[in-house]
Amino acid sequence: MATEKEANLARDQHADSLAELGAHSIGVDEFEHEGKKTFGVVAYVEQGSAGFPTHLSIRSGKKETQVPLLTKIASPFKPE
Amino acid sequence: MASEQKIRQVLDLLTVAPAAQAESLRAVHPPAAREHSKSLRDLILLQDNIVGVGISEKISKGKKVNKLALTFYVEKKIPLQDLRASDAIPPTVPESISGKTAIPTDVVVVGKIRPQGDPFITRHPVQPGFSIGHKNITAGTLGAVVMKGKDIFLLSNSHVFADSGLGKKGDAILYPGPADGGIDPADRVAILEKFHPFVNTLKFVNEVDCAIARPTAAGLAKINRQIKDLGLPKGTIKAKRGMKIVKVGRTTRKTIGEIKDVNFRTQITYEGIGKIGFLEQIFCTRYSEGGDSGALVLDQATGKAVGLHFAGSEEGSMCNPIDTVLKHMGVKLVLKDNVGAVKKALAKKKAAVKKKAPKKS
Repeated sequence: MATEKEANLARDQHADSLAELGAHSIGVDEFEHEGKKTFGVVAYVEQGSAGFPTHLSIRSGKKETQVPLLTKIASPFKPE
Repeated sequence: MASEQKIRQVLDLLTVAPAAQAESLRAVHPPAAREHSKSLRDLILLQDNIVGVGISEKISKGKKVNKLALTFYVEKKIPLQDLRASDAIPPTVPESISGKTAIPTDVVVVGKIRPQGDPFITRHPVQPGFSIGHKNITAGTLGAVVMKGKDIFLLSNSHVFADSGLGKKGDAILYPGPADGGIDPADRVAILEKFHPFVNTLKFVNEVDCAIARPTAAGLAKINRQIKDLGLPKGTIKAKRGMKIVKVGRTTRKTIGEIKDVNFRTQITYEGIGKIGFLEQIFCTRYSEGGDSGALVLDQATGKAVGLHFAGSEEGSMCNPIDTVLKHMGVKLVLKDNVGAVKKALAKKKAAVKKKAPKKS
């Protein structure tokens, strides 16, 4: 499970690679993962989530943390 | 596969007036059908989260499966484990109602459905919350009156005032916006002064979609600094997850929402420009529709400005952090505590305009 701070760090470190996989937006939210509430990264995609990992790895000193990644199918945001 | 006609019959059965429905059931349906249809009707009528029901192509794991479904439109997705058994939508319509051909159901999240009143359009006064726009766009919202030294400017998005950067300094800003009947030069209230150009990249590097416009003499004389139905902002405040917010915009008028994320990253397509990557955006529950862009977003508790609305989707609405906007534009919001200075500046400008005007003979 991850904290909000860890999820934000995971987004900072992995945003560009998630965009390359097809994410048009990248958020951080609290959601249920493996039966427990946790903060994690949400990748918004237009089509399927194939190729996306289930966790993002972050390193702080010697400690490595796995942050859950959720993919969500959603239309891209538009200027209003 | 169930035909559209068959699903329509079931839809009618579940949504027609109670008396007519009861009569039709007595005539043609056995007791099990009556019971099942009652429980589905109760679900539609009593469950607050269900905001509509209809027929659409079923989507499974993000893909169309080439089958029509009885579709339940919901405000938000609730995990199955959080629902009582009686509140869960069954995967198919019970056979007692559908007959032997199975009718799949689908659940589509559409958010809160709000009655939409007439858009905020006026020609007098020039006031934040109302329709405005560059001569080549449709319409957006005038966000706020801002100051730079003693000069007064109007604040909105770059895609509202500067045609997303395709416009140039001196272009006409119409009030209301062209889609709301604004015509040039009759409704010209300001000219484009400055916009923040986009860095045209998919990388998440852009921070703002903002521009300021310098009021014309006629525009200046009509300015009301108060945001329609909200008054003057009381300062600025940093966005926080969970903060309740309020805005007044051209299309949805006064609406509220909640901040979900303060470091949101997104790629947005601008017509004639391309895809632009943004970082550090404020992502909120849905509070807007097209035409609300440029609206100032306030913290509901303090009345302080938190963002400048610029984008949205079915997932939510998004605004630029207001302090970043003001920094890029080099301006300050007109607030309650600097209103005296603004009054003086406006009076001085208006006097100067009067002095310049040709005397009537």
